[in-house]
Amino acid sequence: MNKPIALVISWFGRELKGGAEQLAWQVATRLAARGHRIEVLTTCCRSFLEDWSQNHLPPGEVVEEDVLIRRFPVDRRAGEEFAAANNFVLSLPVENLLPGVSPFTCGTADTFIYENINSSKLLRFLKKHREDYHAFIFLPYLYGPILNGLPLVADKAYLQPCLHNEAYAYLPRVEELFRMARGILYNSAGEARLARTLYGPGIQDKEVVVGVGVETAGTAGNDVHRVGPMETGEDRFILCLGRRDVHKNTLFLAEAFVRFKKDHPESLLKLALAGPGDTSFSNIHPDIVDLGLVSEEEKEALLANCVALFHPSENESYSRVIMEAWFHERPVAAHRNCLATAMAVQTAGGGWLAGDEGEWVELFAEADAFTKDELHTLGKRGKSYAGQYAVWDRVIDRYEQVLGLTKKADEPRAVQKEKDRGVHQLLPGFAFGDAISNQAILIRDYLRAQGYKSVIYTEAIDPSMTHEAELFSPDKLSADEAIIYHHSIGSGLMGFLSSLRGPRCLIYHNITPPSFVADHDSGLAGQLQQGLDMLPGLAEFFPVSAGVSAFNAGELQQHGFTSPDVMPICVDPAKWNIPTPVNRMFELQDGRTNILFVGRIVSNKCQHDLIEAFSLYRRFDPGARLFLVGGYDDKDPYYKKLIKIIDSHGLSGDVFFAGKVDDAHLHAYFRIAHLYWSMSEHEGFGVPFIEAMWFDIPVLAYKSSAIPETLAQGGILFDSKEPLEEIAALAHLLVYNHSLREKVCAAQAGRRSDFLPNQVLPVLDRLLSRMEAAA
Amino acid sequence: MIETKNPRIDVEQLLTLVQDEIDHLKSDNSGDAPVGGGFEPAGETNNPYAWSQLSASLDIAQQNADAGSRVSTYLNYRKSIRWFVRGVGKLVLYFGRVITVPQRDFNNAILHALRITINGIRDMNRRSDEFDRRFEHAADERQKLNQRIDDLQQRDQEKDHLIGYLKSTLMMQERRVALFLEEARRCLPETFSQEQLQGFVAEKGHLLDSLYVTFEDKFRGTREEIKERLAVYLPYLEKTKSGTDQRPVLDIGSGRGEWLELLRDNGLVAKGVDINETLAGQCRERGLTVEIKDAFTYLQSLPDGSLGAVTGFHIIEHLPMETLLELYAEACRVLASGGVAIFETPNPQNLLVGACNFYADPTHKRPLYPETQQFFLEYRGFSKVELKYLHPHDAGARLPEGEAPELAARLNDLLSCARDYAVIGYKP
Repeated sequence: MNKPIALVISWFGRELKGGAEQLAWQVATRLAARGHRIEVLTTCCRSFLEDWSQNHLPPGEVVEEDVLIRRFPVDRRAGEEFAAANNFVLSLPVENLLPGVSPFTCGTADTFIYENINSSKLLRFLKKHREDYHAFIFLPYLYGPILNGLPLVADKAYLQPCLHNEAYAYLPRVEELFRMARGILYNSAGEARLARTLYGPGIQDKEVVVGVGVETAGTAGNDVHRVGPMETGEDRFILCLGRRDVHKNTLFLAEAFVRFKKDHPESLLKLALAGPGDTSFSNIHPDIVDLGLVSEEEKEALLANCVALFHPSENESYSRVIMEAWFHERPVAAHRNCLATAMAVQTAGGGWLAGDEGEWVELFAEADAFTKDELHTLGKRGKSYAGQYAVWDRVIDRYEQVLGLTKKADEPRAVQKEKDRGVHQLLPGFAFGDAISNQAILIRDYLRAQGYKSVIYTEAIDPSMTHEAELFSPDKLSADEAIIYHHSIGSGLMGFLSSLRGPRCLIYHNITPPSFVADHDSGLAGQLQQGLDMLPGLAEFFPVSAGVSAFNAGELQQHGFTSPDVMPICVDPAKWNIPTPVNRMFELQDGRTNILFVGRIVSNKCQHDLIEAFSLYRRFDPGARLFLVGGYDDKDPYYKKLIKIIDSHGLSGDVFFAGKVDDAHLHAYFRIAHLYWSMSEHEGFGVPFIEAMWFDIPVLAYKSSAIPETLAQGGILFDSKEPLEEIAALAHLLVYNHSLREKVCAAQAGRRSDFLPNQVLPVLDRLLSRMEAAA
Repeated sequence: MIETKNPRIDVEQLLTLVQDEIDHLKSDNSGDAPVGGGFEPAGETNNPYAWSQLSASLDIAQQNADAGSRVSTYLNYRKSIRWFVRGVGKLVLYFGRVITVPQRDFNNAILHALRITINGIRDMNRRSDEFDRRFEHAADERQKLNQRIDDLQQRDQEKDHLIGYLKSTLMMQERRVALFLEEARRCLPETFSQEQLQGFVAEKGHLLDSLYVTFEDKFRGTREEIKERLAVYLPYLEKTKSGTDQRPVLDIGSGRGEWLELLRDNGLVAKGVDINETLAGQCRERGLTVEIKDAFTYLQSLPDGSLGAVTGFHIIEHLPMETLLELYAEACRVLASGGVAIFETPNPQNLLVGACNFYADPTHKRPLYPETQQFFLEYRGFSKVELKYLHPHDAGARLPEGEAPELAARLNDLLSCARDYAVIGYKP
């Protein structure tokens, strides 16, 4: 039989209350019921509520419902020190927490991790038996066995964090867990979004929203026709279920309802509140019916007969009642500020979102005006979503899929046979952080995975990159070998290239028109011109070619290449699965607006226009800052010109030249930016535009060269830089207009996936076969 | 100009929003604020150089905060002895941990504290900028308010002029009408009939109504003050179960209606009677029930035992003695058994009131001695008649004791004792 799956959790048992404990029980027993070998590694401590240094249960193995439970004794711990550290953390207001900045001192962090509930025997077991298990699921994120256990088996570990926006989530160790785990299982799309807000998009490729099953009472409640003063079948009412509490926004909703009634005195709509809580809301308005705590049957009857469920709470990590309403095909309204519920409603399309009181008032009117059919349509959409994410069978299917427990996954993967032929790449230059170099590395890794021998050769190399590429000399490569040549500038390779006889392909990365740099850098202009001049000649030697965008493929065609392909540059956010520098994250999240542009300081990127536009932008947003990230030479006349412009506007403290930065710092700049703003007049592709999309930064760009193609439906373009004031106003809208921002980011989220390796590499396969055929 | 392939964005609408932004900015700047370049940057930009230095120092500190946890890279000796040196280094570190662990904690704690402090300072900078802005705004507002006050004062003066003019024209009109009436009477072939004459007489009686209203407004005090003072009588009504439909309250000389309003506020049934048309009109506007009649005539029209309470505040000092005695008799007659009569009047025992303040109202007849009124009520059939002294002068009006404390004390008794009293009697 296959190796077992282990769930690692601090407390385990059928009777345990608490979301994560319940979830663990359900997942373990349900997976076991499908015939999988499931083990639970837990402690001898009985529950969260008991003393964490006491062993209430005997150590050893027991089997419950086909699940093998291994209990390990807990360690002694400094409970008081832990309580002090914990109280300190709990005292931090959530709104002051900053992503990427630890609110803990090292001491408190260590106390929290090591004086938590812990079992060194469990950790030793993990270390010793890691090979005996197929995979480990760790949940939830904030206890000792997880904080200390996951790093021991990271490559087989799936973290199911049950994440909330709370101070613990900002502990550096927690971020490490997210970064090192093999996979992350979320209960809701909102939870995944929160994790991306906290740790960046680097973790997105290993995230899976598995959902949580909701046990439904089904059609029960059909016999109930009256709940308190409500005739469930007769009255037209909006339902609000859950704790009736100021923190759940119940009063807020009641006030919105009163306003709605004032505006629409003719409406027969009522508002029914049901759930536990001490405060009564009945006396606010005659049409508000406060039912208090209701029975399960009554709840079902209310859900089955309401017009819609309104769920105004802003503080939810997962909401059962929303799923329950959808099972009854009722639409749901959720609060815009609550990630978990808002994401569910948005993704499902099963209702509405509202934020301030006015919006809720309108929503009452809207729901009142909807016909039965319209409400039903929304409810149906919700039901199909709930059917996917809140039905245990579907949820367990997803666990099986992620953990590789399906039959298909059992079959061994076809190992690529080593091929005789090598496919090598040739570049004019190879440097750290350079888009072309990164693409070459990706292609090399893919070719090697396919069984090809593959080496990157280059004319010039950055000393820090010698482990990735070799300096080119003609004797290292035979003319018969398969070569992929990346063309982006003039080089001395023409002679060698013209001698090639084997399969070959040219990838064109675009050449900046020399006129842009002629004034500042005649040397560079010459190299660019040479690169352009080489193109017609190269067209003769390369029967197979590709541009990184249709814009570039068009240029190739103009220079005589036949039917060039389009192979975009790959932008994989997994690159960002690295921590950000704490100081930078701390400094840049000080409440001021951060505007970002990434690209070398060079005239075709028009940083001068950006600074001019930014000076106008500051009229709308006086605290804003502009970061220009990208290499520059302080003797460069263009750089000096920029400094003059900055000084003339008195912006020297507000425009920053970050220079060429490492990935960690670039990561930080993307994390803290509110707007990506480009005035560039020439971009052959625009990798940073796609990176900005991954960080959910709205993009505002001047429409030129390949930019419209790269952005597609993402971002907002303008085709004239005049009047500059309007563009500044547009930028201000993109930063502050919530709804516009949301629309732009949603479109960008769709576009960015087109540049993932799984989208780009099939083009490479096609090019390889074309190369073979042409040779 | 704007382009997007995003189907959810309406470009036309977006352009309108952009224009709104610009208009909004322009309207914000339409005042004294300079357009462009005049904005003080918020927050830390006051000294960017210092901040970047601070940031660089923190970076260095952070890099070295964990000193003592790793073998230094300086120990990269030749390969042959590298392992040995690193081994020794590790051994030293192992033993040194006793000292270095707390040091590292200290380093990191200090760095953490520094970051929090810096955050605090930045926050304060931002707030101070915000306060500056608010302060400027407040100064602007104050200037605007001052301007408005000046405007209002000027308008007030204009109104005073107008009122003066209207008063004098009104007086002239009154004189003209009087002259005209006199002339008309003289020129008429027949003298006025008895009825017409009575009409004139009656009207003549009301000629001073509005004057008296203005007088009351000026001298009596605000409605709220009066209502507060009169609230002391509510327990008497409660005690005698007055103010119901069967036992209503009648207020003689109800005036501006404060008492009636107070009674209504307390859910009591009451009616007023007043001879002043203007005052009665005002009361009716407030929804109070007031008859415009002579109190005496009205009382005579009521059946025996039909009221729970009869009240009169500052009216008995306006009546001649015979009428007063008649009033007491009538009040006793119309009260039901157990009903109460309350009459309040200035207290002449107070030296200031008796000698001076009483005469502030030119329609007052003469001060009424408390025990006399008590006697009158008893004489007219009331029982358990009591005197209730009210409204002493506040302590500030008292004379200092000085060199003759006894004299001062006696004078103080006379000057600051109750300014008013009420005589209260019950129908047996």
